Amino acid sequence: MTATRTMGYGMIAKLLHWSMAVLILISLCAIEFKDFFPKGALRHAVVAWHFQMGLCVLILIGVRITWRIKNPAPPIFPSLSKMQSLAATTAHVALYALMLILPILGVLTRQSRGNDVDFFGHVLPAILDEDSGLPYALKIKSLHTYLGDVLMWLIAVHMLIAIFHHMVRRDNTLSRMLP
Amino acid sequence: MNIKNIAMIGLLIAAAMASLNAQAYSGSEYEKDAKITLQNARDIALKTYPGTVVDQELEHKLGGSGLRYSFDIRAHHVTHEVGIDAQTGAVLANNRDSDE
Ligand code: HEM
Ligand code: HEM
Repeated sequence: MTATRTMGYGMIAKLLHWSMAVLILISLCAIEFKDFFPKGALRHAVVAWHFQMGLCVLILIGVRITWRIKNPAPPIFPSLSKMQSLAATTAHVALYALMLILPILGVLTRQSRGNDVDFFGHVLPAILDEDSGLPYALKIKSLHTYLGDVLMWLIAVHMLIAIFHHMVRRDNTLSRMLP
Repeated sequence: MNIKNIAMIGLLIAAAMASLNAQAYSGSEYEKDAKITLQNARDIALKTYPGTVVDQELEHKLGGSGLRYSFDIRAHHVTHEVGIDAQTGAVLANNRDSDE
């Protein structure tokens, strides 16, 4: 037995991590690049992708957080310093929190200004109706956009650190998560 | 402290700075080029179409001076997009939001 060959994340954890990564990246690309599409049906469809993928994230994040609580992360070799683990845990908790909060804020953004939220052809029930939500519409949208930007940067740094672990620190952090 | 820890801390600081760099509103980085403030423009927009501002941005767009504040204002279940020239305060647009 060699000390460096340890178990990685389980199948379910990997599946959730990578499928949600794809969903979030599509969602972010759709909203960031929407202005490249001409106003009208096409742009409308691109923005709808932002909503649909975001709502898929909302469905999966519940499963993911529950799964994570029941299944501890596999150890990293060589192990991290206390500071590094603390930083990693903080960042991961922030990622989970944002994956949960952002789609909810997104739904509230639309409902507060009186727009329906459509999930593959089904209009979602209103958590917040226009009559009570309108005064908060701008604040909610700003918070959604702001936290969305924060998530985007966190993901970028998360990716860089994963690559750093693999290429520079040469530990098993990334291989544990690879399919 | 070794080089890896330093690199790690560097990345975290970069993350923190990037987060702080997130914008107050879309296009706020052009504010320095605008003669009219967001507040002024919003007052003009709300006189043009009284209601609740649900979205605001500062954008480069053909028409007027080329820099405009764009507000989505909702009243009586109808949203209008109201454009205010960021240099002159002129009303450049006031029509039903086409995204609806
Ligand atoms: C939308 C994009 C992504 C999100 C939201 C995300 C989120 C997360 C979260 C929350 C964890 C923590 C898992 C745990 O609790 O143990 C994690 C782990 C991990 N992610 Fe990502 N991730 C994303 C994309 C990526 C990408 C593109 C890479 C690779 C370049 C990557 C590599 C990893 C690795 C290696 C781990 C294991 C880290 C560890 O256990 O310390 N992730 N990811
Ligand atoms: C993982 C989930 C989500 C993430 C990471 C996310 C992220 C973002 C980001 C970064 C923006 C700002 C884009 C810009 O720079 O203008 C944005 C805008 C927006 N998002 Fe989301 N979002 C998510 C889910 C949702 C959902 C589920 C909805 C609604 C059903 C939604 C509705 C909106 C709306 C209405 C805007 C404003 C679009 C506009 O008019 O400019 N989002 N989102």
